[in-house]
Amino acid sequence: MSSYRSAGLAALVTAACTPSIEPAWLVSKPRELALEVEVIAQGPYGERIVPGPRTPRDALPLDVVSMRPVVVDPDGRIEPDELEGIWLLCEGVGNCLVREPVAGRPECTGGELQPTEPCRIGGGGSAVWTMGDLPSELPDELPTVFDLISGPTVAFVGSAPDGPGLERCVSRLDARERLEGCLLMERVVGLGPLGELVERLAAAGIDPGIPEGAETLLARGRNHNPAVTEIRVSLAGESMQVAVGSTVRVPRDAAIVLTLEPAEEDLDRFEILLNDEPVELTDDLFGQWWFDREIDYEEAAVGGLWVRWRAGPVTGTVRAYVVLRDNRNGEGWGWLDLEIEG
Amino acid sequence: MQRLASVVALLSVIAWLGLVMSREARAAAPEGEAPCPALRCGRLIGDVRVAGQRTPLPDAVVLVMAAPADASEGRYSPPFAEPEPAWARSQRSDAAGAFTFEGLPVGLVRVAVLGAGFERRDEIVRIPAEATGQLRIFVTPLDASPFRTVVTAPPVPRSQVTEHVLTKEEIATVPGSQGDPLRALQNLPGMMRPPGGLGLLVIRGSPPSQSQVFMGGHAMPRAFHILSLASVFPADVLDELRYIPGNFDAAYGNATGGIVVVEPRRGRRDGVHGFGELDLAAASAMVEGPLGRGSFIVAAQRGYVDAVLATAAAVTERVTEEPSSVLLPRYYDYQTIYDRPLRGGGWLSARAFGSGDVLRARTPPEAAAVSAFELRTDFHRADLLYRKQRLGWTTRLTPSFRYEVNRLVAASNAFRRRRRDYVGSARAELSRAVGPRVLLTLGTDSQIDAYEALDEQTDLSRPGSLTQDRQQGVQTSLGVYVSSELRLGRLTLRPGARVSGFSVGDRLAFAVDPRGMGDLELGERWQLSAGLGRYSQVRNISDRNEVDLVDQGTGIQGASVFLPSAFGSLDPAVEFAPQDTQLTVREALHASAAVRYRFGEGGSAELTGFLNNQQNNVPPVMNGSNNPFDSISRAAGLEVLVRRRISRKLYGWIAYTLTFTELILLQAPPGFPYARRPSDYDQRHNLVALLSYALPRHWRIGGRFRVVSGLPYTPVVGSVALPGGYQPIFGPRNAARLPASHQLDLRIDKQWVRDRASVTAYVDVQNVYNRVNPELVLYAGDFRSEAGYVGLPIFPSLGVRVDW
Repeated sequence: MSSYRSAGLAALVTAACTPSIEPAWLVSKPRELALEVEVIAQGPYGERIVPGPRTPRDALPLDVVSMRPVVVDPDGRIEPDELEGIWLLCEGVGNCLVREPVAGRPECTGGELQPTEPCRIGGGGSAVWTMGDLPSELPDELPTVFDLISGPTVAFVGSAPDGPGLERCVSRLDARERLEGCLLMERVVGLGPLGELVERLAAAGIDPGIPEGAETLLARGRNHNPAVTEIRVSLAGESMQVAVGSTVRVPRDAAIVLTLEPAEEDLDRFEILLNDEPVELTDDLFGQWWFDREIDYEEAAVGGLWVRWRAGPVTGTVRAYVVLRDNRNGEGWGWLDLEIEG
Repeated sequence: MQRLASVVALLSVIAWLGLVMSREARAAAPEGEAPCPALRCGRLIGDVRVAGQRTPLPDAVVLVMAAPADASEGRYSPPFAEPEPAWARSQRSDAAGAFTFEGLPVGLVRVAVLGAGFERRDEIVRIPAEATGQLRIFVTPLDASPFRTVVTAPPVPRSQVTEHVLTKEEIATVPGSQGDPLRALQNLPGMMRPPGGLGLLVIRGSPPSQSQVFMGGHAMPRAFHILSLASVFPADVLDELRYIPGNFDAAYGNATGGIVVVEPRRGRRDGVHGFGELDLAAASAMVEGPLGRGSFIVAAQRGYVDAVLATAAAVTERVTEEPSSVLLPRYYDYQTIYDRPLRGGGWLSARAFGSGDVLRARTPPEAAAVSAFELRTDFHRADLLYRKQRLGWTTRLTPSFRYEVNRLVAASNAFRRRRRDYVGSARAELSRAVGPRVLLTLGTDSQIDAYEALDEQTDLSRPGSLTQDRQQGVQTSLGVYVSSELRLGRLTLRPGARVSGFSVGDRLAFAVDPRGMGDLELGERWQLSAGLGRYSQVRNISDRNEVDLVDQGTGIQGASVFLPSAFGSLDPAVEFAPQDTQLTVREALHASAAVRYRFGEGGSAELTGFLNNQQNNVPPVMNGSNNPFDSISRAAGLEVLVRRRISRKLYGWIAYTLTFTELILLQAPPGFPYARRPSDYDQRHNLVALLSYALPRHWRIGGRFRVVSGLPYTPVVGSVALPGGYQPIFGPRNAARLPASHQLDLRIDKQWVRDRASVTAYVDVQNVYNRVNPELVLYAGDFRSEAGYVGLPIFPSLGVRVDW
């Protein structure tokens, strides 16, 4: 029914005098854009990881994973070392920070692939964690391997450099008080590849619970984080690929289109047999854009790999941030400075 | 300029009254003085009627005089300072408004009618030779009101500490209420200003479902149409509304909040009358008149908000070229009433009324399979009322039958639910004075509800598959009550008690509710009243389907909208088969005390303090266990009402309510942050000042100013950043409060009185100075900051009504 609710409320909001609302894409204060999660050391399971242009995202039991939040403010990225924070491991997005109090959480023992209660895996602006080993059986609440791979989740609670401090952020979160200046994010770690997990579970005598028709997904390889290395800038019929971190001069009144053109490595292609015919599948990719100045959005498709905007009255330089995600928890990010002419 | 015109008109009337008196004196002269030559005489018979109402006007002065030389037949407007007519005769209309003049000269004569409180009316008529001229002449009341009071049976005496009554005129003219009877009640103390200013009865902080509206002695299944757009009965079928915010009589049960008592009126017997009304949201009509020895009323109302919204959505689609989803509410209601006296002093009333609502989703075709739905709810009820007073006994019997059906169809007919109820109910009551000091009332009310519920579901992935779940059963309630009145000089005590039993299938629940009230007269003007009693209501255990229109956290235009929980009461919902395994009863203790001062010229000022302490008795999830959400609801406060009818043309009141309501969880562990919180309806202050004045020339103007505290809401304190979005983090429930709001509503009515009908047009403007009164909270799309509030803008409502 939500579409009607939206329609009714939209009518009310439209009819009434509504206050100006700060858009969620505006980097006017510290914002959590992404979480860099990568396997930095491989455990005993799975094929050996071949170094490549993209960092491996899928982790198998006993792999070592590094986690670094991408937090930006109007001055640019806040390096993880500047952040105060604690890291939790828990089960399922949405269950880490809002269900249970964060203060007093026990340290994770290291044996749990995903704990039934949130536990701490570290402190500071970044974390390194060794994934737990395979469970001896699938718990009742995670009856299939699909539940297992979507489960392990990391959460970060921190304070921005100018924020109230970690201790206050935690106490405010637990007391459900205003969380101004606090940073909170959750990400599914991403277990995989699926076929490897299923094989290991089966070898341990555990039914992985693969439903009929889902076997095709077993051929999927280890997922890698997509990367943002270049952004296409188009204006007035002209277009150019620009390396992230560059500065581009753009005219004030032009409609500027920024587009991500994913590389082959971002797609993690694999082939399956469907009705005995080979079919090639790839990851689905989504983009999300932020700007550090209040520019005029002309159009921005949700999840679209492009955005069209206009500088409007803004002068100086506008920094555009973009995060590229795949549908298997992989994330990459980049930025571009756009200097407004005139 | 207007004042000058009024003065001139007044002087003119005074002059004419002087002339009338002199003509009356002359009319007493012998008939032979009439200027009528032999064989050239005629006769005039006629009657005087009230314009717009067509009712006879007795005791009006009717003058017949020589017509001016240049006059022609028809209506005549006399000039100022006209010469005295050559002759004149007069008489007064009789009880039927009739008059007869014999021996008038043939040809044109002038007839003038004057009545106290009416505009003068002059007509030129032709008197035929040796024949009878006939004339029906209409006179217009100076302050005509279409709100005519029909004398009905005296209300049943009931005990209460505080009772507020609204007349039909007040209901129709209170600004900001659009003539709706139950919304007019929202201006009285103890009534919360509901979210959105819509129609909900939140009495002394109790949720709407815990209060009851009784019509003809039986509880209404619903008081408002869907989305609380309008009451399910119009003001025109009743003479007044009685509203008792707490400590009500033992005759009323199954409510722990307050009650509203509606008694339909009898139809008029002075001719066939009626009205038709049209406004932006609905059309309604009514006909009433004599029927045999009795009278009848037939009325109906149809809301067409759906048509307005559908048109708006179609226009929006054309402009934006994007599909538009919108909810379309539609409703109707009807009332038929027949009353007749019986031999031996009894009265019989037969009433049939009903109401129907449809809430339908207008969806783009591509979304219909998922999101299309239609919710229908209808009831039809037939009541008989037999009432008789004889040998000191008053007997009242009201059997009633109701048919009710709820239907929900969703997802392209794949999901269907239906519930039908066949409800028989009855109330029987005997009252008698036992000696000079004691009045005793004994009564019983009962209800048997045979229901059948059907759930059907089709698996969309397996065409042709259908699963059905059919349930049927019986729900009953039985109440036996006694109430009494003991007059002990200045002290009147009203003890009473009610025993109630409820059943759903084999589940049973009982309640014993002793109640007592008392009044102490302190001189002619002061009165103290107090009451203490227990009130019970069976908890509804039926499965509900809610449209979920007002769930929290809807993203709109880059922001997230959050609504106070009180909006949930506006959510359209229908009930189906009982689900819970246990039947329990809410138990409330009502205590209140009032001090009242009666003004000499009518009206009163009163101050009431109240407490409603309610054990909610939430049934355990499993037999034998405690429910961690069992709770107590507590409301306490003060009410002030100063109400005066300053003159026949001016009425108004000031109502103020101070309320503290909270919910206390009984099983919460120590330190649990939600163990005690403001209830969803904790509106701390509510002040209403209201005035309505009947101006000359059939204008009426009224204003209502209201200041209320904001409703509590559950704040969003921050959010967790997730891939592609944010998850809001809610603060403790109802920990924040919307800012106070205030608004002025104005209503202007203009009536045009014609001979056989009157036309009234009104404009009712809400929020005249367009203040943003917070109704909901806007957060930035990331929930990290509160962006502000949204309120309803200025809103004019227009309507026109024809009475005949």
